[in-house]
Amino acid sequence: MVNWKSIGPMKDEQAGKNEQGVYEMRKRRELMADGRRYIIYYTFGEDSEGMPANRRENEKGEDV
Amino acid sequence: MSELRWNPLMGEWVATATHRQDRTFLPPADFCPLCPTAPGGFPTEIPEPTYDIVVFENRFPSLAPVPPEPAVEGTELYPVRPGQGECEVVVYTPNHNSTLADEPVERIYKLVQVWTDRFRELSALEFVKYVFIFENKGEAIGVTLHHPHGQIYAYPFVPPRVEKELAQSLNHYQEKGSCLLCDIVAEEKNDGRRVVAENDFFVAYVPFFARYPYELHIASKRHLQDLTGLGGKEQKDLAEILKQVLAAFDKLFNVSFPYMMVLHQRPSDGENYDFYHFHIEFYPPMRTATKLKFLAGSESGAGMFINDTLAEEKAAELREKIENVEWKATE
Repeated sequence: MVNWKSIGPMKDEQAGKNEQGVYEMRKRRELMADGRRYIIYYTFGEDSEGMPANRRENEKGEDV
Repeated sequence: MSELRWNPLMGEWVATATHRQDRTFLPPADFCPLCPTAPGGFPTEIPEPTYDIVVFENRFPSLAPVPPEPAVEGTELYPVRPGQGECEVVVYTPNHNSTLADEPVERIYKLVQVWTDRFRELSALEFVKYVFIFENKGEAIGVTLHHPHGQIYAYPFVPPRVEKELAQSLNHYQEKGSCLLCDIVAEEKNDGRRVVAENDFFVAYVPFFARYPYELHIASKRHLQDLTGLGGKEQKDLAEILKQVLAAFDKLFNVSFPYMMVLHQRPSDGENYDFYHFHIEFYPPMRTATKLKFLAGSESGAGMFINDTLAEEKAAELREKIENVEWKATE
């Protein structure tokens, strides 16, 4: 049995060199007609205020 | 009924999900459950009259967050456990007659973001140990719904094929001090004959060890373990190379090319997988314009694949079909 925990972190030289995404992603979760299952609608738009989508969702307290 | 039964011969779980026998099978377009519900029309799974990308829990799941008790009692030799997990359907577009290959690169880019969100959310569930994102496309693969969609299975264990890949990656790291897939990507790029497409952050290639004639892998050039590590430019590059290879597949024989597409990411069981490397694998069943590759005796009974073609030649065929991708400012 291998010991996964014995491995240390590997060097990641390019981490953090990317620009942010273009589209702001929003999601809305609802219950389906059967009252048991969930459905999530994903919509996208450009973030005119330049704020990361996940931060905006947290601030608005949306049903994500 | 749904449960997990242990196969002691192979040391792996098998899911039984008898309710799936009754799932919707190739319905006419007017009764597609993945289309938006039209006003006054047949109530589909999606009540909204239109949508961008939608994810919902599968009506006929193999695994469920609150699974039923197993139909049989286990024994010491044959353990049985509830089929706990999650099965989601990812609907790519409202357009019933489209395919992922037909969709603009902007939508594929959005899909990459949805995949990332689903991986992040499902990985956080306590009972989920592995999030498996995939698409089965085409009747040759056995799809039951033609509407363009993929699926996500969140397993309560690390599935055996991934476990084997992890073990190989770990062994390589312990022996060589380097990432196995980083070394594979370097060798494919250095050789060049099997490379199909490439951009700043990703490379697509028919692997040296291809099991299917048109098997194709897409790997990130940067060493990362899952989609959540991708930056915005990397997400766009992934969408772009996906669009290129999907379009090339369709151009090969001028048909909507069937395939299995699977995303291999790190498990979500809380362990350290820094040695592992995210990638996508395609397994298309076509070996010519009119012939399929079947998983017959050697493949199914011995696990030994026999590929009737040379990866170098198939890569060259695909490479000829690669075209540049046009981005719009907005979709």
